[in-house]
Amino acid sequence: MGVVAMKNNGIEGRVIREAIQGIWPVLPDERNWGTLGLTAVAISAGVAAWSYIIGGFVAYYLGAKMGTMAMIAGSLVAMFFVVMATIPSSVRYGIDTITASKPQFGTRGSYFSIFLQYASIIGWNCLLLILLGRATGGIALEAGWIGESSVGFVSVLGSLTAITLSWLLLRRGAESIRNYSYFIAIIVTALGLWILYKLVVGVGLTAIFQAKPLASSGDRLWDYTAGFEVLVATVLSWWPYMGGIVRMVPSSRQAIWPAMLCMGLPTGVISLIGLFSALATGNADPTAWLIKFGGIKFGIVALIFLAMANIGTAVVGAYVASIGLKQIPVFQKGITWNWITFIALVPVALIAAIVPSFFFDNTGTFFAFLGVFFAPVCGIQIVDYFFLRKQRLNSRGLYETDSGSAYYFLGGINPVAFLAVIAGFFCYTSLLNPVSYESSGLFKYISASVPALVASSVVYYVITKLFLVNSKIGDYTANSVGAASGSVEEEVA
Amino acid sequence: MAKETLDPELERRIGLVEDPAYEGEPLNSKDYIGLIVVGIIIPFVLMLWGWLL
Repeated sequence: MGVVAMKNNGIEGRVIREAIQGIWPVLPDERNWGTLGLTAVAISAGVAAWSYIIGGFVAYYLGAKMGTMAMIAGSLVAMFFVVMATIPSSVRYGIDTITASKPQFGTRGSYFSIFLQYASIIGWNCLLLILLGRATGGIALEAGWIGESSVGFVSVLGSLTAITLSWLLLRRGAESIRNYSYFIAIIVTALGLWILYKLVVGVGLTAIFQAKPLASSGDRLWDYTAGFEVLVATVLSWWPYMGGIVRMVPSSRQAIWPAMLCMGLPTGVISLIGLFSALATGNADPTAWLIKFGGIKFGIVALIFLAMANIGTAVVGAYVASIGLKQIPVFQKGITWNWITFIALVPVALIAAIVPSFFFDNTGTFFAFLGVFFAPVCGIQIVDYFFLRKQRLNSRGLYETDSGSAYYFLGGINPVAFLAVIAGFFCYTSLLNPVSYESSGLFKYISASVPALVASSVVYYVITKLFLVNSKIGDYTANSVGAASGSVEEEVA
Repeated sequence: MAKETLDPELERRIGLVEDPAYEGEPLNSKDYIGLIVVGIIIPFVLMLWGWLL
């Protein structure tokens, strides 16, 4: 009824924009994406050019058969945990992922979630835009437009041009970005199918399936687990995106399958093209495939496709990161949208200009770090929402920030959540070193992200039960006596 | 409980989202079983299958 009144008084547009583009709860009658709408958005988000890089990396360890199984399995497992951590609370309360993390990390502790979101999106955008720059340099060299010595310069110039274009596109706002994302999905799929076609015609399926991994460890089980782990870690990084997307759907039941099958699975499936291409060419770098399969003529066309796809995906990522940054008080007043988007893109520009090869050649480390941090966060959210808060949050507490608010904990931070993240961090790094990929003997049997998720969950649950549930800190007592739902029932009556 | 003043529109929204009548259909046991099958059991079978190939 309130929404009807609001629609009649002429401020509807501003208020709904504030909710959908900001952090206010989106009300059920403003959620205009059904299962079909979410499916379209999920596919357009899940199908992105970074999948080629993921698949190319897995080709170091696995051949086509085992790689296919490990990648599909890894993407499903990771998306299961992301779905469980985000969808029930985000859909029920119409909130984004960062706001939904306040009951675990605290009003100020949720800045950690913003940092994770910011850092992971910077990383992904670096991969996309450096890839684009390298493709530009490679094709310019192959076409004879530049000499060998200029390739690095042209590659950096290509990346910086793409970043500038991304920043200019961000000024046009959310609506154009949402519409653009459908085209990204089509372009990436078309490019992938074209690469696959060229691959099958030029190399043959038999050769692809008989190709050996590029840098096998020699231990078949270790390689298999590493391939699985790469997909788990990378798909877990959908966590920061998920809440903002699914809160546009009226119910959790409408959200879970599009998220599971259209966001998680496409990452695995499109990554297969990267895996097969890398195995066939013996090169994990996607920029090499464009020229190898298409020659100069088709390489240029593919480059244009890649540019549209990567810039589009980078714009969506930078938009999400900018919305996250807006939740930090210093970015809420006196700083324009253009400056916030600039801040979201500057680190990408610096990395692309100063250390592009170093970053691109160490993608495995970036992938592992995604698992190091997102696995514990997902575990903490799941155990907190389902087992400690009994699926009830204090909606007011999600937005209050003063010392008496529900999720203020100690100084705005819940130390238990950070202890649990540290436990997950040590669990992961003791199983697999994210930098060197050296591992303990256990890694090949249990992987790293999933044990880290479990370790964080257990630590969080035990310490919260021991010290917080019966205290007045963190609003756990409200859940144990059903106070939250009680107050609602009174209002309804 | 704190008496912090929030934007009136935000207050109104909070009141509405806390109303169970506004909540969509929650997940039921079939949904959870389906999720566990697709997110845990099928990946386990795929991994086993891939190993035996």
